[in-house]
Amino acid sequence: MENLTPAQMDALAEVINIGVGSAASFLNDIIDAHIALEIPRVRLFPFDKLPLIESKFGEDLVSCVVQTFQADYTGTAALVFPPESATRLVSAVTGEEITSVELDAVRSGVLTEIGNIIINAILGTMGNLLQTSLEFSLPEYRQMKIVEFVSPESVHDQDGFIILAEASFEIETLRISSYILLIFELASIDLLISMIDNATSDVVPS
Amino acid sequence: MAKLLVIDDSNFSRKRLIECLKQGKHEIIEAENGIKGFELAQRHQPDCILCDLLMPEMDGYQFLEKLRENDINIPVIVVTANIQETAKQRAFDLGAIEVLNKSLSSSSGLLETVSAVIKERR
Repeated sequence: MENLTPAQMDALAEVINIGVGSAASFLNDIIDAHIALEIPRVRLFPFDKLPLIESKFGEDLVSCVVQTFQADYTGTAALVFPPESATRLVSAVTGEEITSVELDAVRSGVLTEIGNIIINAILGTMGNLLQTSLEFSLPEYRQMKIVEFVSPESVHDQDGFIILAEASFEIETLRISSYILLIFELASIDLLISMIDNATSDVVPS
Repeated sequence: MAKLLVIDDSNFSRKRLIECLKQGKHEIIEAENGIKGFELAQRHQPDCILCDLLMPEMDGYQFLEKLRENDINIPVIVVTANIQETAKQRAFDLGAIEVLNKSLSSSSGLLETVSAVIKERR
């Protein structure tokens, strides 16, 4: 299942797009500034292509909000920010000037809740569209190298897949980049794709 | 003016909700999980409770169950990031009277909902 059909990929990208749009609406509400969105770029990697993801982030530390989810399909979702973007986002939300990329407990709590809302917007949209019900773990904030998050040791199913969605948004002149990583176990990705097929089977191409 | 109890493990979301509710001149008490929320609900008998779903110690579903088990009939508005229809339905089944999406809970919509609930209760 390494390659999705264009229709499957389109459906997956649209689900993520709707979720990101909902998240942007939330940010717009709390920051009271226009959030310019780019269409998320979505790619699917089997675990043996992990170096492609690792090389994208390199050895740099990233700021992540991580949540596991389970139901018919299970996995882990992470909202990943370059630390400077995370700091700028928290700064924009709280109205405080933050000079350090290290976030204290209060500020990391703000980012954790924002991550929780964004991840829920995306996975909740997925659950609604695919008519399945997901249970989420509590969100956790971590600052680490991406390689530590997606290392083979940290993943239960070595045959699983990673969905990488790159979503960037701009708040006025403040450029903030973020990445959404969804890790699915192999059986889960097959089921997910089968559910996407079912959900889109009645759609007549325009 | 009404007495409201806000339950959310996120300090950020709690403050955000409270800031909004203060516009309605309400008295507000707060808790960071269902256990503390339940204690405060028993002690203070608020007019309305706003409660998150995903929380440590006791989540929103367990909190709703606990209220029901103890015959505490205080209206609960769930304010959650979980936008799934199934989550919404489960909350309604457990007695929530409204379920609002955190990402969309603008101040006017939230205040209107709370006012309507309080009016109904009185």
